[in-house]
Amino acid sequence: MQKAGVKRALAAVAAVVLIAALLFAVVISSEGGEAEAAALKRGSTGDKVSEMQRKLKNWGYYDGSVDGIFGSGTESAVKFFQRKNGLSADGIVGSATAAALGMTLSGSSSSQTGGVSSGVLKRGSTGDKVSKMQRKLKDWGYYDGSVDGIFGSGTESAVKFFQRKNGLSADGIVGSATAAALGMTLSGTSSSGDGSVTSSDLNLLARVVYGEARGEEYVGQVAVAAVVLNRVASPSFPNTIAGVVYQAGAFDCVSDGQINLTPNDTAMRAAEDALNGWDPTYGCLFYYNPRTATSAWMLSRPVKLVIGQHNFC
Amino acid sequence: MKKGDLEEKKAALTAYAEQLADEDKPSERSDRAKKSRRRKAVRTAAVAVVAALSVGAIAGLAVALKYSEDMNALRAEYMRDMEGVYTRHYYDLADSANELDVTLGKLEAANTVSRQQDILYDVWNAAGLAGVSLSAFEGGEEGVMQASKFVGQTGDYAHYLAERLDDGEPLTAEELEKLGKLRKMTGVLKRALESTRQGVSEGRLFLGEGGMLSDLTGEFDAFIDPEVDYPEMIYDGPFSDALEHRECKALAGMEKVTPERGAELAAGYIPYAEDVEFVSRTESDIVTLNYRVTTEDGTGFAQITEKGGLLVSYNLNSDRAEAAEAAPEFTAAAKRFAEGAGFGELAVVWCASAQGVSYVNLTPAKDGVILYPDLIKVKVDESSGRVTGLDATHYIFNHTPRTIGSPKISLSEAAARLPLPAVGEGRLALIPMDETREVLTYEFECERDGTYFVYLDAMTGEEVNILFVVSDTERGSLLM
Repeated sequence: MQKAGVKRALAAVAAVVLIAALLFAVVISSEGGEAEAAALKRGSTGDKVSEMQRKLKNWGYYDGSVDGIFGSGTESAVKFFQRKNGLSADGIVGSATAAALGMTLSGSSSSQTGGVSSGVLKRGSTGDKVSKMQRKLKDWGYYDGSVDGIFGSGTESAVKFFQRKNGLSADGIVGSATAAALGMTLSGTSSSGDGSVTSSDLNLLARVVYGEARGEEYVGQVAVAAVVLNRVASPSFPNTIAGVVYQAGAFDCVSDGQINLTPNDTAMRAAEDALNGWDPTYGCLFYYNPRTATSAWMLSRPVKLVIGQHNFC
Repeated sequence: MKKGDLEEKKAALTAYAEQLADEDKPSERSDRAKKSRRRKAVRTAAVAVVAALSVGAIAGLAVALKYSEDMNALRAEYMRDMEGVYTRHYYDLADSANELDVTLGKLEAANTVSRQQDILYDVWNAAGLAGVSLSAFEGGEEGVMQASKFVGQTGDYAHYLAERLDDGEPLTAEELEKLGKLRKMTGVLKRALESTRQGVSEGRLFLGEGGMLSDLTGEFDAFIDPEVDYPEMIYDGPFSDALEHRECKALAGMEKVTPERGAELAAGYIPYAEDVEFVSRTESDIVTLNYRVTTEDGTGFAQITEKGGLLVSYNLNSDRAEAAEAAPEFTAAAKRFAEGAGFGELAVVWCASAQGVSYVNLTPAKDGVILYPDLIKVKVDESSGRVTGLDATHYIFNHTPRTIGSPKISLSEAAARLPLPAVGEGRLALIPMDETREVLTYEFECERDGTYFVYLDAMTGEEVNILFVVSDTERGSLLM
């Protein structure tokens, strides 16, 4: 009885300590978060920045445009304001500077470092993605401004120039098509789950190509992958890549285990091409090696294309 | 016998006796003992070796027996597992066949549109399940393929009709008759499963000697030339018979070209071709002349339509290992190449990078409308920046002079209907719908935790398609 009592007391103490620690952690983290959200600094965007720019402009500290983007011009203006008003001239609008400006910084909207949303980059976006894009545009001669991670008007013109030159619609907004042309992906990890499914399909298809046709010329490998995909699209066969590949007796490489070999780059590319629509057979559902095939039915089908060892029909 | 002979014999015997006496000397005796000991030792050793060998052999045999017993047990276990897989698929198939029969039967009794629609979706579902179960059986056999085709088309057709009921079009007498024929075909499927049902109840197995698997596969041969009338399945769905032999709209009214002329054309389409050699013809839905194209980057394969001499496909695998970063010149190079191959002015609509290759999608535009049905894809090798492939299959099948109506709702009206925040402005795009229709839409790129392309019907404002951009570390970006 006594032992149980001691145990219960210990448990209670442990729980209290744990709760206290958790609370402490929450308080600490929320404080940190608030502090970061509050200050306006280079890279910040939004209404608060516009408000500040307007004030600085009205008071003669700033002569740039009121665009809600805290760039280098805005930073110098802030430093100028701070020096003139006896504040430490660090270019960061903390609570003291904000008070001197007659502004409050509360509200979380003021600092949007890291871009507008997960995807699109446009005027006003900031962050690493913007820097990366600026660097690329600069390397390729489309942009001659500074790589500062801030999507201002100079960056916008560069994006439009890039889009015009590359047959994309020149709206100055880096959506998925422009990003792809720039060799970038925009969204973060939001869709990786679905992505891995398609990767595994590619890999499975490449393994069929490698197991069935690695000795064939490239177009013959693409054709084998295309036959698998034509079967997926046909009512006479299962409706998934794995369903078609692992249908009993459908592919030799499954029965002799060669499907488990690691495909090489050529097989991967052939599979990728087929997934992208290349099909030199234009719809064939079968292929066979005429020297080893035995099925009379198969041999009786009209051959539509011969590539290397394989008759496609 | 002569006396002399006897003497001789006596002498010989005496000599022999003396010899024997000599051997009995002590040193000679010990020698003999040694010899016999050695012999004994050899004998013992031999016996030991033989014993050891036999013990070893017995032990080895025991291990081998044990091993083979284990392997046999394992094999038997695998067989039982596989037996379970086949049995399950058989039962599932039998259930779905019954379900298909019952639902198609109920359809005959349904007299309201909503009942018909519910039942048609049930048919679609049962047919889908039957298709999955069927796929467990021998794929290369024609009977199984025909059976798969039957369930595939039945489900697809039911789905098409169910969707169409939504548009307020009732089932016609002809469609009901077709559904009746499909029910009769369901009877063929059920009969094909009959003898196996008998076997299963007698405890027979699918695998092993005398297994029912090959018999069951054989039963599906009833589908090759069914005793009931299988209707021709032409409707607007992906499994329609109409898609088996498609016409090439882009080639209408064009003249055939010879292989020699095709080679000239190919050399013109592929600016950096050093040599073009005719190899074969493809006699599929698109009849092509095939050429081997030698270039600095390797040997490519080009296909020119026999009718009209258009470049429908080109592909080359350049084995350059080092994949450079994507560069903007890729889309420009793709556009230049495709326009140079005679496809008119094109717009870049999408690009993605994978395996060191940039895939650029282009479409023609008519009066500012993007024509997605005529999509052309171009591959650009990322290390050389040169075009290594083109695919114009969609263009060859679909491109035709079209009359595109004017939109009934405006871009801003359409934008107001968007469910997600849009990026940039929308644009007019003709998109393929179902298998045979084309619909004029407004295309918007939208953004919320990922990128979507949303298509709104330009006549009604109704949302007709959504594509999601999947970014994939291995394959770049994809549209799904």
